[in-house]
Amino acid sequence: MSTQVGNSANMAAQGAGSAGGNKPNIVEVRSLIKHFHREDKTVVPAIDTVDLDVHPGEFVVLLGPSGCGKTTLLRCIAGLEKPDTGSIQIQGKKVFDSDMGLVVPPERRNISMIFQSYALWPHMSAFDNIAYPLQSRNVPKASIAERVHGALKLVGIPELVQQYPAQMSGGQQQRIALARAIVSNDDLVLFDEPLSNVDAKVREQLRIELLEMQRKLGFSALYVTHDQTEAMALAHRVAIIRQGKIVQIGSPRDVYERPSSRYVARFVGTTNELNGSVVSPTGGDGTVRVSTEFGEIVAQSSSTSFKIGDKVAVVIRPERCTLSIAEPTAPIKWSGTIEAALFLGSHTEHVVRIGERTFLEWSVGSELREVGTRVWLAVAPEHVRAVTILDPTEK
Amino acid sequence: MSQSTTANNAASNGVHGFSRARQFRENITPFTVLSSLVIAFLAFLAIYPLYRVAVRMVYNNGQFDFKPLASMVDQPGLSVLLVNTVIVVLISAVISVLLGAIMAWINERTDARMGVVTDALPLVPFLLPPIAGAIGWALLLSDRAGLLNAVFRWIINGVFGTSMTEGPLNIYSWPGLIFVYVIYSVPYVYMLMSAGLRNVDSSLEEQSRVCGAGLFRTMRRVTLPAVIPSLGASVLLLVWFGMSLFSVPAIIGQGAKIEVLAVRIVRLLTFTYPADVPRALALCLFVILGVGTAYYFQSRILRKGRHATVGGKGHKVTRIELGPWKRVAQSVVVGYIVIAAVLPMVGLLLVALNGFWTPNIRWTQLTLDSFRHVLIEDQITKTALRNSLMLGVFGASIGIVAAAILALFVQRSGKGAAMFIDATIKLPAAISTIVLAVGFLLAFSGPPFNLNGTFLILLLAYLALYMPQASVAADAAASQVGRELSEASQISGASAGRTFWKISLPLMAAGLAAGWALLFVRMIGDLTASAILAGTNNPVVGFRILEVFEGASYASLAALSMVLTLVSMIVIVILLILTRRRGTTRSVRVSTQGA
Repeated sequence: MSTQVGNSANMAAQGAGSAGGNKPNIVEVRSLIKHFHREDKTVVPAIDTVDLDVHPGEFVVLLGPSGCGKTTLLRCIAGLEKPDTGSIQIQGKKVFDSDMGLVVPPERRNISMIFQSYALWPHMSAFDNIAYPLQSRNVPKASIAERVHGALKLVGIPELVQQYPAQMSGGQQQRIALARAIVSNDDLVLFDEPLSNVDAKVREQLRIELLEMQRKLGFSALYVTHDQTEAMALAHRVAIIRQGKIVQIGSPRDVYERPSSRYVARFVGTTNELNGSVVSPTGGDGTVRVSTEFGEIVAQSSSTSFKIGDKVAVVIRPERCTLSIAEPTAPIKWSGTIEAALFLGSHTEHVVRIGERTFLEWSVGSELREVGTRVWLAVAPEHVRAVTILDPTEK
Repeated sequence: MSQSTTANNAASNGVHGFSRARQFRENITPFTVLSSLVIAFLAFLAIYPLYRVAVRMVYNNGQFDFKPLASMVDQPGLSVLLVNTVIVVLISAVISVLLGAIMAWINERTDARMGVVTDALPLVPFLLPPIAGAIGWALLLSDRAGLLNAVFRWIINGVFGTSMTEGPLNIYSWPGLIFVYVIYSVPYVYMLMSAGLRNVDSSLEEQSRVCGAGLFRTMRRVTLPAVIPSLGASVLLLVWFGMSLFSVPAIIGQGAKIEVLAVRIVRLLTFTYPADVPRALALCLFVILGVGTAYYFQSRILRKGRHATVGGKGHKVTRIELGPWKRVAQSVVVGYIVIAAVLPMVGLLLVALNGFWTPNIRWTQLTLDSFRHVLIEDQITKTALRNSLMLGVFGASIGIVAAAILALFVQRSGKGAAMFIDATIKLPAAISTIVLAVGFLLAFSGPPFNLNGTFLILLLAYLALYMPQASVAADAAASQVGRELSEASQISGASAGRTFWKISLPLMAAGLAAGWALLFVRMIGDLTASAILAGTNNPVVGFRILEVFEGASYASLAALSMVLTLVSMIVIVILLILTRRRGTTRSVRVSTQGA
């Protein structure tokens, strides 16, 4: 067990950088399409022309609302569902290719998966549950016990070895599922919302342990969730999915601070928004001039291809706003009235009415202002961003 | 330009087809081959005799013959026959589902359960073959000679000074007939419902109670929807069972002058000379209609897929405390057991020991003579008992494993073809057992099979006859095993066969054990098919009982039924204790941990 931990630690260091061009990708998904046929005969695209790479040792999170197709994508990679067209490669080996008519069944893809329900077999003890993947893969009997105990120790519950799932708490069951997934040392572990069934405290604890374990063992992880905090905490890269398409993929900081669309901006955090239209195309400095209800604003452009007249949204994160009584010198500022002031423990929130709109302002360690106070709300130009609107009908 | 494009397309199409074929070969595993063979064999057993029967509907002795179809309307007293059947089957089904579900709930979910005894006892009437039970109740409640009626009269005459010589009750009546149907239907409901309840996480119910819903609201809104598949399976099974039940209406119905479809079919085939095949086949078409309707509704319930499944999270059962109602609940269960099992067995035992049937028991002269007669002296009965036991064990084991393979195949693939095969294999039960037996006689007794009068023809016939019952039980068990559990096994690198033996089969065990017990009892106590396919070379208990019954030797019949009951009871109680122990010890450990 110890040798293999050392090995993978190296891999993790490489993988996280994701620069390694000579190492093959763990997962390569190309032009994947899958349609669902609803009972009323309508056809819904569940996966819509998806390309996705997972590098060795990388933790990729698929993030999106329920029904966006993220779980279907995961299940296609696992082999539990068959896509319509496209190809999937795992560790350089084709496992699905619609042109070749190739479908490798899940048991021959050499991957591990943690299910939302944990899928622990209730008629088997913890030991038998964890030993199962090894037995299925014809690992010599002698080393099975050793590896099972090693995995149990790694997830921190060696004393539960003879217990049955019905005798365990949710957190313990989760750990057994994790042990079962890592015991066979597969290079790819798939996670299908594994933390959605445990309470918040346990979830936070498990998230930290999972992160440590992934970085230590160095397996590649593909993780499905609808919880953006979870995605931010775990991922090297987050892929945000909307209606079967990956609309943006990048580091957590990337998608949070440089969203490419209003959809992404909203999904990964809270936004203040202004609707507007482009009045001058993106310049060499990466900014774009947008006409809004608050006048013209120079915003960071999320796209180089904005044309004059394009409808865009200007988004500003609440924690980037600052309030002051005296008029600030900053170029982007509006005057308004405090409509509500909330103390939220870690930070304070002010709701500021500016014209027809309300803006949120978050700050750490500042005093609450009185409701009705006239204030100026200012924001640094680098934190004002013009993004595309994917779905104009969304309010 | 366009030419080369076409050529390219053709070339790539060729590659396409080639590799698809290669891939197809790669994916064939021993298990897929095995399950395909099992399914093909089951389909053959179901289809071929049915095909012979279907041919006979329109074709006979080298020429077309439409008499059977014409007979659909040309039957004496057809409307009375149909109305009788519908009334008996539906009224007994409604009462049985209510009773069976309530008792399953009492035993699985409340503190009124009385240990292994309550688990096993509702099954006791199951072990008493319907013909024995029907005779038992006839012995107890016939108008004049009924033993129980004699007791009632003694009490009434003693209290009121009257001098009744008959009644007060009469088994040969509508209520009497429905009463005996219900006795025999309730266990089907009970078995399926308790297996269903055992698989539903009781935290779902606790959740509802916490939400402020009362006990009855919780049952209606949470428990009931969760066990809908079991409920649907129960109703379907009851319609099947009621439509082709022959022995009870043959005994009770005949005395009450109420004729139902099954009795008429048997009468036309075996007690009419020459056998009136066309009219019997025509009546079978009505049976198909009834069962087909029930199957349609059940498959719609299952397909909705909103019922509870066993999740990957282990679950614990919390029992509801009934307080003062506990005694009431317990007396419901005890009362049912007494009426369904204890009383008819007492009746049979008294008649067997007394030597002949009379309300005046000679208490000082009871002997075991009739038992000695059926167990030691009568060679044919001895052979019949041994044959039936072997048929029960082999038939039930083969049948339930095959049904499990079939159920998983249908559930996983869910395609039109799978549904079709499923329906095909279940079809024979829509034909009353006697007609399938005739089909077997037509299909297998002559060349090239030449199985007439063999053990094998009975085994094959029982498999085909009781596959639907096995299949319904296996379907319900399979639909309650969460999909993720077998998916997790696949991901772990297990082959389809390994997933079946290590994961699906053990998880379905509770439901399958119930199905096995059901098959065993049905096979060991089979009457109608055995009447046609068994003979002096291969006697079975059902055949022997019919012979004894026709000889009107009530003492021997009673003794034989008692022996059969005891043997089946021992086998099934052992099975129940074994399957129960695994579950209970685990839940006991959970509760001690919690404390």
